[in-house]
Amino acid sequence: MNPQESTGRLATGTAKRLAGQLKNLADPVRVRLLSIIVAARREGVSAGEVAEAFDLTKPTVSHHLKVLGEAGLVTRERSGTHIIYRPTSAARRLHTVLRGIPGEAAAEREEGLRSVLDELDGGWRPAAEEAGASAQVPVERPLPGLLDPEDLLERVQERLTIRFAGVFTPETVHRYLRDSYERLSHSAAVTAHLPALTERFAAERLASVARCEGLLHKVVPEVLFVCVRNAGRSQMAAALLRHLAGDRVQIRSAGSAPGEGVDPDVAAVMTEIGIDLGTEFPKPLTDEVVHSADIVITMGCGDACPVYLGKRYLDWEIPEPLGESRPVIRLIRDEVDRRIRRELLPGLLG
Amino acid sequence: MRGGEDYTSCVSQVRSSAALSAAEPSGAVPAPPPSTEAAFDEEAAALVAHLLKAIADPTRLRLLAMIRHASDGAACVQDLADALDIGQPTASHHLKILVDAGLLVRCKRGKHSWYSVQPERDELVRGLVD
Repeated sequence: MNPQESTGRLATGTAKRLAGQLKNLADPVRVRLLSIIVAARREGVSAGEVAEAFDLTKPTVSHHLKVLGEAGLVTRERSGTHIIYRPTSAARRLHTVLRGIPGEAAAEREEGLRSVLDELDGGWRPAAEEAGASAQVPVERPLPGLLDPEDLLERVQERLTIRFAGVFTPETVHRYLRDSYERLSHSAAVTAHLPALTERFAAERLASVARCEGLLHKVVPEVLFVCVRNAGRSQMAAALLRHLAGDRVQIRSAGSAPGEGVDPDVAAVMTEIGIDLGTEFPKPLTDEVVHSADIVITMGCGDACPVYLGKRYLDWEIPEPLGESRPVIRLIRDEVDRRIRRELLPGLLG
Repeated sequence: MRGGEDYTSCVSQVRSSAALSAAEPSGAVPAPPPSTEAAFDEEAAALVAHLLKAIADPTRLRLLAMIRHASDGAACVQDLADALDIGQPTASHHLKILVDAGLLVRCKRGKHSWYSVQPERDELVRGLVD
């Protein structure tokens, strides 16, 4: 190890060169091309051979090979009528480093699942099936940055802005939020819950102001979320909507076959975004609760939910989080959040 | 390591096919196309490209090098900005990109955020900046 390494300094010139090389390589097709060329070693490959293997046109492959050549990762040499591409030693070194990446299962799986979730609109494929093959080890990693109070406050700000849209400007919300945070940070004993407490406190203050000034509607719509166990999906949905709409909406949740308690993993991924499911519990689906609702959102409970006239019914295909790893549950949480914001809030908050 | 074996066997497969084609007189049947088995599959290649995009910047490479070699594997924004002679907002901006890409982890110690290399990505970072 030379002294340069021990202090962790990377010379500016070296950093620039390496950055340029990596930038040229940072494309899925070129990553795969590099892999093939490195595998072919000294014998090299022609653009035509690669094009065939990749199902790409020869000009496309030639273009990518040119970019790799500019990065000093492949050399080109004419051999008869062909041009043969070979890896440089830098390419082989780099490839050895990169080969380790996809082996690290968690991120790969997360990527895979993300693409699955992206297809959610076109119908959900069972998550277990997708994840099962590569997922022997449940991998848990902290979601980067989410436990930072500033990040949590940012999310709170976003939610309160939505909740008070049309009543208060984002700036007013921001002012109340910051002021509430300041006040609470002087008195709160447990700082871990500070962002959550701040959200409630700020929301109550803003609501009182709005009521005083006659800005809030007195009659609030009632929303009911129904899933099977009322331990995961409908709990997440209810909590998310509560944080987004506050007391502008009456929110209930229920399950067609209620579980014993809220899933700890579900509670954990909600805590990460500053929402506490602490006192929530699974509740059975009853006739009255459906009767009193204005909007009923069902999530995977089949036709267990009675249908009455004059209500708005939405059926969301959200996968069951039970037994999934936290990265997957996070994706489910975000999907629920997205649908609430997109499909529910516009009608509720006008 | 199943992946390693696949890779090795594939390399030898590609080598032997290339050797065969070299032995053939020119104008004969073209050699079989190189095997793509060793290549990253599409999903893996997308992940690799995604990570490379985040890393491919001189300042971010230098930040990664600094953090990797920090005394306890973690460094705060101010120290990093000072060491690289850049402004704190610039450092924060680059750190956020690295955190978002899953290369760094941020944690709060006292008043400051500390950054360390995401353990899963340690090998990659070491391979690139050491």
